[in-house]
Amino acid sequence: MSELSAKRILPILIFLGAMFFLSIAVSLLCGPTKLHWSSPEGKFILLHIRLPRTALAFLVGFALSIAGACFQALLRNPLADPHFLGISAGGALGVVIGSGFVFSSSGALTVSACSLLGSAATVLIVYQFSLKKGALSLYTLLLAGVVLNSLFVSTIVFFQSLFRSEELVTVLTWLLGNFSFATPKQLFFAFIAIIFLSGIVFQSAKKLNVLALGESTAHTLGISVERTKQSVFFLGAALTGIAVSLGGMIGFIGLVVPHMARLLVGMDYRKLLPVSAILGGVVLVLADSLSRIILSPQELPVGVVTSFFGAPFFLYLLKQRQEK
Amino acid sequence: MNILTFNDVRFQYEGFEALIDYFCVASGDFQLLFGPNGAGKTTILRLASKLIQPDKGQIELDGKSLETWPQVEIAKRIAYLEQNSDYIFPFTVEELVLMGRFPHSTNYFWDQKEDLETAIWAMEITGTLQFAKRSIFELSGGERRKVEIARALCQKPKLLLLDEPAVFLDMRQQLDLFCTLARLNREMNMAIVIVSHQLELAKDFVKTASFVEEGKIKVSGMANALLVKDRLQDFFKLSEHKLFDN
Repeated sequence: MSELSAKRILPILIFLGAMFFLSIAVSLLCGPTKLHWSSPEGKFILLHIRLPRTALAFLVGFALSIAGACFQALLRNPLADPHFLGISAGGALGVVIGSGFVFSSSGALTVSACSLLGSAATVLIVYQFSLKKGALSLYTLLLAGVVLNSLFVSTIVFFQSLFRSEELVTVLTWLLGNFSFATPKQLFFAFIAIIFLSGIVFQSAKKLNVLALGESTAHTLGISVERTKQSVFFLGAALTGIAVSLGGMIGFIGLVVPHMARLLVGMDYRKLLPVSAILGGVVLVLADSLSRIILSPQELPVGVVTSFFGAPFFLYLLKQRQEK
Repeated sequence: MNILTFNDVRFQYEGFEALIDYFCVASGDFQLLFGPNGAGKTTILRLASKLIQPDKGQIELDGKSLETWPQVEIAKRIAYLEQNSDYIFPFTVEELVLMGRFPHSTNYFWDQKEDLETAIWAMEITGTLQFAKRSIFELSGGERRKVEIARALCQKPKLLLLDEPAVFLDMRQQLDLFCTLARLNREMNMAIVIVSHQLELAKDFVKTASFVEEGKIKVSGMANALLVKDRLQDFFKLSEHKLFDN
């Protein structure tokens, strides 16, 4: 990065920092109960309900955006989304099966564990399916993922129609994105895992740039293409799986936020990844705040809010691409 | 010493077979590979850059079997520009050129001073410095080619392989491209192997030429002896063409 681009990035950093604090302030102040700062009740709500929830939303947005940026480079497809590859639907199916049939409870830990298992199983299926002579076929990966995704979604709906139980209704609320489930312990583990995985992704930023030029160009520039592809796939998948296990299937963040970041700092993954990550956190924290305000005191699944705003933005991007 | 040597190389893929008895590139060479479509010219370049591996035979880089070279070391010695490069993301010219430093990069994240200096040097030589900050999407075909050559130069290769770089370029840009290549060859002694159908133009620039047909190198020789009308009519069997009956 030259001196010139270093200068350009400073205002963006200030902007992101401001957005970060603003979003957190908004999220802490929004909710069905009006807070009285001095009362012990108010303090409790602030510290034990709203703060963890805000942190959770931030982490999930952070993880989904990095995962989206990873998949967009890996699949060389600007329209790739972390939910493309069936990983999140797999997680959701895991939750439906697990909490509906096996554990007969839908506590936070059960939901997260089942979701992680479902996602991991899906990742392995898609991976094995796309592996041919030691090479990962990205084309197959994409198609297999999309097909599995719709298979899982219809299976979920089938179970729902079959049982119509209370448990499954709770699970379905979770599916569309909900941050009221997670416990502080989960939050802590998720924080460690997401920071660790993101760190590895940041380290691979130069490789992601080169990979985005296509496999053979990356190869002639000296990258071990297969190794890089597989590690990017597993990193993106793990981040997606963790995000889904914490907050359900929240659409459009992983798809749209990397593009917002591209508008701000350009294509270079060394700038794109950190900016996407922070921006993803900020956007999801704001979306979650909105989800609490719109129908207050009722709560909207946050996935509804992100889709509501994400879809039009996405269409705008599509239109722009067409004009190019 | 030869940079690159092919000995009895065989490569098979879905009914196509390439058999290269012998092919070599030494430093300072400027070679043209020409022949009908589907003859195996690209296969030779892909073999040379280890994008594909031979089923039989030996390819050597600097006297050592290509198989034993790590990809990143090959990338420091051989740069290969493919026929089509489609860009999905609008990287800037500067960003793209800097990616050519990847095999030499000493820091996994930041660019070093040397990387930036090399990129500027490469953009100066190819005349792309003026659009360093522009997106690749905004450039014409000829300008994109120059950017790719600048990226290849950043690899500081001994050998530059180009697959039909002049296709889609107008005559002026074709001439421009060959002039740039000739300069690299002359001033830096960079070996160049180019696949091209612009035979008329290439004749004035390349030193040697090889005619490739049906997966084999049929004839090799000095460019000005091979790339003449009579020989070309033979090579491409033009006299059998209906037009010549009249």
